[in-house]
Amino acid sequence: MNILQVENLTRIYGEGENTVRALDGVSFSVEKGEFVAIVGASGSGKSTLLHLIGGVDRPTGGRVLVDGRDVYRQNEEELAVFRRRQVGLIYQFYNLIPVLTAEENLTLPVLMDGRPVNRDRVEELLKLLKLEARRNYLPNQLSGGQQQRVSIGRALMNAPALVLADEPTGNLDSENSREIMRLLRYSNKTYRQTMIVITHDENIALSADRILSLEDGKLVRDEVIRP
Amino acid sequence: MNVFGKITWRTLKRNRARTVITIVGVILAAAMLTAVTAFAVSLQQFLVVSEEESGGNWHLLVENVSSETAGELAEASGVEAAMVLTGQGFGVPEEDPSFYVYLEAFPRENADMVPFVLEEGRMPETGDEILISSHMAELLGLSCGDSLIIGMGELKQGERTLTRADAGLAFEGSGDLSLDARSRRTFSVAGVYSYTAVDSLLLAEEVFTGPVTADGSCRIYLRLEEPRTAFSFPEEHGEWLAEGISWSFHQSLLRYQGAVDNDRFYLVMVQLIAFLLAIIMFGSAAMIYNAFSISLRERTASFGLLACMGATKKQLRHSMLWEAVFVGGIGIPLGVLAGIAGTGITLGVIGRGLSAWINGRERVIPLKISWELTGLAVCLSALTVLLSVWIPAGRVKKMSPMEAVRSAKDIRVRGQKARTGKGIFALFGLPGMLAAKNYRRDWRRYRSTVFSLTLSIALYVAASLFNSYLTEATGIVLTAPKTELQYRVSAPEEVCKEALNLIQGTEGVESVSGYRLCTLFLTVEEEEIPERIRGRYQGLFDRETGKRLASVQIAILPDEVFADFGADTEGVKGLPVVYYNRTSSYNPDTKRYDELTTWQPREGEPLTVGNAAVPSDSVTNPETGEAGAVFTQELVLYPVKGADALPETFFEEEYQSRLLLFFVSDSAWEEWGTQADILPEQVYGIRCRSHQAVYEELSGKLGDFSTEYGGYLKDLAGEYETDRNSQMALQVLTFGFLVLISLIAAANVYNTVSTNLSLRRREAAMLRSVGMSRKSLRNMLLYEGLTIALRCIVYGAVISLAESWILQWILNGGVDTRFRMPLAPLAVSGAGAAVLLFASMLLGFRKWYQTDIIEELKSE
Repeated sequence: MNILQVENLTRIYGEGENTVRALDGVSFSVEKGEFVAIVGASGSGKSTLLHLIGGVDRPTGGRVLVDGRDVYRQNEEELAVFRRRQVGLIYQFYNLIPVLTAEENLTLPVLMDGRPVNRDRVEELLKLLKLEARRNYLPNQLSGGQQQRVSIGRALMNAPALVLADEPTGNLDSENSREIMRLLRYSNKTYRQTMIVITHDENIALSADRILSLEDGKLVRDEVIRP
Repeated sequence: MNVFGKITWRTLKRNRARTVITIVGVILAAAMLTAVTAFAVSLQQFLVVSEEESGGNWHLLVENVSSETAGELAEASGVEAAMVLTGQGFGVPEEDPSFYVYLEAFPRENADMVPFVLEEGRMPETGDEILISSHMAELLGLSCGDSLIIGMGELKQGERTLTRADAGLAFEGSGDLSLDARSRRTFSVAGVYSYTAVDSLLLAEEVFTGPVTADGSCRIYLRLEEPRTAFSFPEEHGEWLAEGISWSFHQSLLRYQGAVDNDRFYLVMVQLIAFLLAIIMFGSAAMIYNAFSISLRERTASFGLLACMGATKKQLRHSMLWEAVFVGGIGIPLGVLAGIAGTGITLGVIGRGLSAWINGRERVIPLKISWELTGLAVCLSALTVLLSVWIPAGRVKKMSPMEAVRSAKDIRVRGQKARTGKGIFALFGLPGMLAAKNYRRDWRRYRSTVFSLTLSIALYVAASLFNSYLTEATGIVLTAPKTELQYRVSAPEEVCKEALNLIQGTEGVESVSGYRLCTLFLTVEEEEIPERIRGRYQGLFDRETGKRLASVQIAILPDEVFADFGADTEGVKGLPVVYYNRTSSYNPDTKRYDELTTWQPREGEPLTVGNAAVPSDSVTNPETGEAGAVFTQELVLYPVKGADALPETFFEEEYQSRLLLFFVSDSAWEEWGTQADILPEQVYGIRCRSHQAVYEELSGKLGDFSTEYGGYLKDLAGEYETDRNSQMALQVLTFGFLVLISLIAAANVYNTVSTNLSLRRREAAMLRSVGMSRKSLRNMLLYEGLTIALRCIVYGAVISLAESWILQWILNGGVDTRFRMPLAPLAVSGAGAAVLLFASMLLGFRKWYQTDIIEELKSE
């Protein structure tokens, strides 16, 4: 079953002679539980594609369907809720809220909903992420790896339809990188979490089920690694 | 508190300096708004209480009504209380028939509506008791418990029976007064009063007895439930109007209670307060808006991240509003308390001086708090905070998550607009070129700095102009008196010389100067007097010629002083005089005070001045009610020259009913003036060091002269000190306002500049990383500062002119006020703003060098 369907997705920035076609008619679909890697040179449109899938940006043309729903037919309010509940975003530079503790950052999507926090779920994630002893620490009191783990926990908190990671290991050393990828794969296998990861790392790409290659905003290759 | 409130609260705590500055801004705003309302209420209450104490707690006085009508008026709708004085008629004390009394009976109720200051005893309670004046008690040697027998009857002037109203208009020396006592009444003296707000009569001593049942011509004092209905009350109750009934209003109390009848003064004061409130609100709102704007800029990336995580725009806007709630929730209560405390302290310091300026007596002005107006101040403060956050919160709506995360709109590069002239590079090198590009590429960022600086200039100038305009408008002209003390006595020459010897022989007296003064009348054609001041000279007309009889004064100066006029008196066959004919008056057409000529004598043509007396068979002008007087020609004056200004040694205050002031020399008066039957008043100006001590000693020494000849001693230096205290009080008030406004402005500038520089740390790190020296980086900032400062001074100058024009327009509503070029305050505020700008920039610059280049470049 396709959890994600991208149809002729286009994103153009600027006007006149300053026009940049960041994405040019990209189409593909992803099944539930797939681990997809997106690769490409700088400026190929990887991050743009990720943000469009995540409902963070607005396409110039085309559609994005998540779980059968057209993402961009929703109004602003619905889009915000979509981002909160259906998508988990992980960035290269962690992007934690500096004044919230690790646990608060982790539970941020739930807190934004105004719903009570499921303590069992929180404990489960803190244990998985090995952050139990650091739950009350602020981001500036955590290492890079620990911050990225908080970021992963935040992305997984609501068990979203999609987890989108933009160079999640780009700012980490090799050991931490391995640990982060282990967590992502674990989450993918255990929770059948659909993962889409942008990476420059060949090893990470090869560990995925499928690789999508972008070049100049176009999808040039769609390679299944593990059927 | 939800997670957005938590994030906001912790962010505020993290950015302590900026948060404190914002809260201080709110405190200052709330304090000033509260202080204005608290001060206005305290002053208004003081004025009302003072006026009630001195003039009584009544709004209308109706005279010449019957007892029946008085009763009906007392019960009329809208009347809260009434005090009826029932006239019992004139009388003569049997012990001393040399003076007359007018007896009125107190009412049973509300006898305290008009104040009596008792020297001794109590108010009379029955018709057998009497309250007399201290003057009468002294004349008759009476005290409480003594008996007083009064022969009651009709007081007549010739054949005319006088009423109480007549006793206020008749002049001394009119003669032909008689009273035929038809009954005797015996009273027991219950009390002696030293002061009463009941109108005093000229012809008779006012005495009061307790409530009686007998009827008489009544006067009724009315206090209304709504003071604002006072001026329409007579019209609405016209059914009681009859011939001879007169109405008058307690103007000052009504004004203080906010009931006005085309009162320009009140309108000017209201407009001034509104101007003040507007400045405070605008300055505070701008400062707090700036603070919230800066907060939004700092939190843009954070907001973008929250948006990516799924926060709605409404939630993000509420996050901004949470900031307003925290800042306002802390700042407003503290500000209100500070405002109340500040007002209390200010009144404690300047209250006496202010009270002396207002009503001539130094008294404490108590702090009064109106909870309604304090609530209004709280609402205005909250409104100021909300308005300040509204626009930045609205900007959140236009942010997309992507732009916010990337802070993409922080740098708006517009190709051609970022180009600068080659001249700038040639003159100022790379730092100057970068500074120019920085300004052009993102003028919106600099706009906040320019706005803050311009606002600080405008606020300071506004406060400074307010101070100087108000000082001018209050009319306190601080000219030190020419002499410390002044003594005046109307007595024969030998008595005056005796008084002079006493004065000169008093320890501490350094010198004594003097002149003589007499007041006479002149007949003039009324049409020759400017129309708007004709009313000053009404009251008497020459019944032989029908011409106006106007008061004039003749000042007899020492010869050497008179010589300073440079008047040519050679060949004048009579009393040569120099005349002064200028006065200032309110012009109803232009609604301001201006100077004009009262009446122009023809130089060389003689004028006859003399006394005027209203004879017993006087005629009254049926239209104007004026009395026809007999003009006794006494003296012929020969005007030789007009004076442009008064002599230095002449220290008379302006006397509004005086048409002309004539100056004559001692020698000329000896030759020509003494032929007339005139006794001039002797005026002595006394110079001394310790005016209080000399005043006390002279008061004792000259007591006999004062009693016998009506002489009196004035402490001019003491009055000057009181005026100076009053002006100082006003200046302390406005200076305090100036300081607070300047604090707001300074905090605003520092906040804006330091935050802007803080947000450019990464840019600075980049420039350092490519090799820009510290000196060049500093020069770049200084050139930016110069660009900003010059713009601000120009904008500030334009706004300052507008402010001065507005203030002058407001004050011109009541007083002739000249336009002031705000050069001095503009120079001070411009220099101050520039110093603050550069100091803030250099402080921010130092912080750039406290951080590691790599860490800054890595941070987002």
